[in-house]
Amino acid sequence: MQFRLLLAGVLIASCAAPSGATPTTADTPAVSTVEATGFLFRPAELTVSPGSNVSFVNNDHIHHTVTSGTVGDQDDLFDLNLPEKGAAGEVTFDTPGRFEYFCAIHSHMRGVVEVKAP
Amino acid sequence: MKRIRVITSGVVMALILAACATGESTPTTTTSPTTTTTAAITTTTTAEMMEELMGADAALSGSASLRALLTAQLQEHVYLAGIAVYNAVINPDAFEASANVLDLNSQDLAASVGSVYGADAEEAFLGLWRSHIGMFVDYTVARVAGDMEGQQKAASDLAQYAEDFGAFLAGANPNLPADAVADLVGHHVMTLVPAVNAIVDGDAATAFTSLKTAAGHMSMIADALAAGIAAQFPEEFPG
Repeated sequence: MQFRLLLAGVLIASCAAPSGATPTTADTPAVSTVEATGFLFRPAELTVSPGSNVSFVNNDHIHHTVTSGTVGDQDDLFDLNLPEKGAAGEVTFDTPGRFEYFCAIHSHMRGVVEVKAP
Repeated sequence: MKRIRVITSGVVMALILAACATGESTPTTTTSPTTTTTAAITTTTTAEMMEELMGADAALSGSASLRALLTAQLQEHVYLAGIAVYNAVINPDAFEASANVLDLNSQDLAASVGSVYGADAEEAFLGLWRSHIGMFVDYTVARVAGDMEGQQKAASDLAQYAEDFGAFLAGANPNLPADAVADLVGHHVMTLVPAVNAIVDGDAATAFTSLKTAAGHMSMIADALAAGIAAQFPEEFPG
């Protein structure tokens, strides 16, 4: 699995990209957006093509994270720290698969990115 | 006379899983059909209560009806939480049943929120509300174990929860300032913790007196929420 974390805005990434990360290409990939809003990730399920960037934006006046894996089973593929409203970060999903994530602070907040070849 | 039973690790695990009811653990999955069925009935009951209370012939205004409903549900929460803690410490065999009913009350509250703000808000509220119950579970377990660090961690989590809850409601309703809601929820925590302490310590008289105080405090939260909602939706909640 290959993930790339892109820093944007006031994003503070709490962990580096996994060891299999690849450099960002010159081509501009498709970007989809997931919002943390009202203590939920919306859309909760998102389907993208391999190589797509997914932007995670915090719309709440409270600290959220976007942490890969499931509650109690964090897989350390990515971990975005979005400490305040407006904070944002991106993850590039290169490999097909189903990638779950949650907020490590508010464990009921969960989402899935499904990566499928077109 | 103190009547403290040390909870076995299995009971503690069941307590955590049942009370948190995150929908992810196997035990919760096993019990979900029952919960779902009962929840549907309870949600219907809540809707019927609202309809009855807010009907054209109702003696109370819309806002007063909302306040009455929220007061009832929030006070029910305190007493059911107290019963669940009591059972966890004193009568473990009855804990699961009391925790399940406590969760039904959480679903009722969430349904009330959802009736005003929609399905997403209902889902978010339920997740947040259940999380604070889980924190009280953590606190209780730590208290039973004499784990001061665990108690402090749970208390810190509950303080953060109060802020989160304030932010959640402020995001939904500009008439509900985050700080004010956080203060109210913080007082809920502060009034319920003495009851938990007394239950764990075997002081029944203090436990139930504290529960009564904690339940009484919930009317303040209900008043604030009902007033804020009525101000936001005056046509739906007149009076």
